[in-house]
Amino acid sequence: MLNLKKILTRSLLAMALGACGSVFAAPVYHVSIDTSKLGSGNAVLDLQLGGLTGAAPVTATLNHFMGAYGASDLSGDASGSIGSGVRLVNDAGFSDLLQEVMLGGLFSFDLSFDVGTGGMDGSSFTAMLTNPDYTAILGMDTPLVDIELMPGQADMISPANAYASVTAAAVSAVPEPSTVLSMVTGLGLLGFGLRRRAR
Amino acid sequence: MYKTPVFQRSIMTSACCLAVAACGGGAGDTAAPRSASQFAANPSSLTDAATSSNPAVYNAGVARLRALADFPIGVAVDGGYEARSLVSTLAEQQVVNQHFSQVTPGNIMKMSYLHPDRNTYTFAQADELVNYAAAHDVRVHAHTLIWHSDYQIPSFMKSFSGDKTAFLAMLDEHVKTIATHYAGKVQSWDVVNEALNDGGGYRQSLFYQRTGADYLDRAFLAARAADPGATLYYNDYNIESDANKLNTLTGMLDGFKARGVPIDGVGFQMHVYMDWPSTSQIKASLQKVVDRGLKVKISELDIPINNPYSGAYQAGDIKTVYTLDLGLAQKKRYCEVVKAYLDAVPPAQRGGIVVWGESDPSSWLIQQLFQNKHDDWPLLFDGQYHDKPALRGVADALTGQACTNAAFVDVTGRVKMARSGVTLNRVTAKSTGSVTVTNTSNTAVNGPLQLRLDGLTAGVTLDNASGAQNGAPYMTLPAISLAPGASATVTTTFSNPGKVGVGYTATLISGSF
Repeated sequence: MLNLKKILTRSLLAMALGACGSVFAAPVYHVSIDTSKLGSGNAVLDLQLGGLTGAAPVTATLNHFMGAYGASDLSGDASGSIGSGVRLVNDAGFSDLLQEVMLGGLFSFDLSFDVGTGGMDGSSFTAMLTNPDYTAILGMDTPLVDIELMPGQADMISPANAYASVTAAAVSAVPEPSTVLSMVTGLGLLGFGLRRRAR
Repeated sequence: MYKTPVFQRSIMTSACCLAVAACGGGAGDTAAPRSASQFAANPSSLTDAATSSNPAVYNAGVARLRALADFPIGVAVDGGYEARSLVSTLAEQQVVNQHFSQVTPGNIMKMSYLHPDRNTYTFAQADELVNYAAAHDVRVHAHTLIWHSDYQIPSFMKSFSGDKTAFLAMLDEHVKTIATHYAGKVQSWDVVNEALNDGGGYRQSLFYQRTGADYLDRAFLAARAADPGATLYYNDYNIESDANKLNTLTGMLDGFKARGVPIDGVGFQMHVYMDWPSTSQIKASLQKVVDRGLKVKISELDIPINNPYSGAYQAGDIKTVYTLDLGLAQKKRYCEVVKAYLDAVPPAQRGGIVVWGESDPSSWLIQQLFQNKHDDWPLLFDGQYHDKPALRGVADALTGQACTNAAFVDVTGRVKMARSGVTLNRVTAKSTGSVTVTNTSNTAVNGPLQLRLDGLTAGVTLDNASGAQNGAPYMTLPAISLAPGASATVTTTFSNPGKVGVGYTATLISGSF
């Protein structure tokens, strides 16, 4: 049996969820690292996810890499590639992507986290630049990017320096067809209701 | 003042006690009277021996003892020309300024200091101390307007030729002049000190011989008239342990009440021992005064390590070297005595707790009780004014902690520990992180607080460890103690040459290893 009131309610709810969906989704960060003031030549960008062994499980997903990248090396249980996306995990304490870069340019990627539950211990995502043989840190002694991921808390981002920035990445989420249909129906019903009320 | 516990009277008679006091003050009537603390002011050889055998400096983890109580926390101090005058001794000042809200001049407000001759009052030394206290947010408990001790009774009083009425008038003037001079400048007075005998009854002092017990009434009346704002105490020793003396006291108090004598409280000197009297006896004695609606003050607290009246001591078991174990046992005893006070005395009737001296070598007990035969360590601070476990014991009682002789207690269950992620620096092979400790209990977690890292990953070492216990590194937290809800964070820096994942179990310890 057709229940117009229920359809209207559900459709309006779908509209609301559609509008707010991006707010509730795990944040996606756009990380930019500017090496223009660090000379030229090769360097290693160490993108690391680390926690104490036994910390709440965390997965970091990195993709949309942009810049003059060279060879990649993965440590720990890291997987993937900069072309298809890299997955870092903290299950062995830490894992990292050791990515060769050509100094002088701008490098960027998108980053998101899946933070599991369990325990009070957090994990850290950091980005550091070193020379190719890991004998000198470039830029600054502390990480260029440091995102603290504590269970139950908002992410703490500390990129305040001349070399890095962390911003919200542009999200281009594609709604499911049924959601689109429901939202269109909601909009139509909303307009219909407003017209009736206007009379 | 020396005092002999009731059960030990066979060993040290009160006559002997008086003789010791009189002996000590022999030169005092012609020069500046010497005090119990002055007697022990220069036991250099004993002090050196004690110092050389002291265990490592103990950190009691008490930031400010006075902040832990809403009643006076006091200490007896020297003044004037005394060796450790608060006014001129920096180390004494530092301890008082940090920990105490009240001082009791150990000597310089006694009778012959302030009133050496019939028409002569000498306030300069006491004024200097009172002014110092006022300038440093410390109140003064004045001690004492009338005291029986022979060397402290001015000569003119001993030779006073008038009758009882005239003698009482003379005492009235003595009390009135001094109390008026310090009206508004001192918080409280010991109006009469030690008027009762060991074993009960009134002491046959000069004052009693001349007036009976009337001088007590008159002294309180005169003090109240001169300084209506001061809290007026009767002060005595062994009343926490001598049932007969306590009975005389309560009878005296009941008489005061019946006659409208304006007394506000009773000072229990509380010169007690590690093993005597029991805390139940202390509580029961305090309760007798509490029941009469009066304030109760622990006015001269000290607890020596040695008890010369004990069987062990007399059999030769004399502690001549201070060890941490002895200090920890003393910590427990201090805690128990203060806890007994808190248990027995309701907040509105707490007149405060005063420790009789700052540093161990200054204690009157070394000279008067132990006759300089060996050292002892009865107070809260050592000869270098370093914390002793006894200080922790007082703090434990004031903050509702259990009284133990443990050097440290695992308090992990009272806190939440949030450990950040750990970042490996591949250049330095250092892994860094942090730990935030939050007190989730409803009482303070007392320090010093040690974060111990148990089971640290093999091959990884904690660079910024404060030390190690049983092979596990630990860090001393910057916060001395944590109030409910309060947090402290420490950074952990590990040497990690193998560049491996770092793991450990965090344990929070209250106390020192």
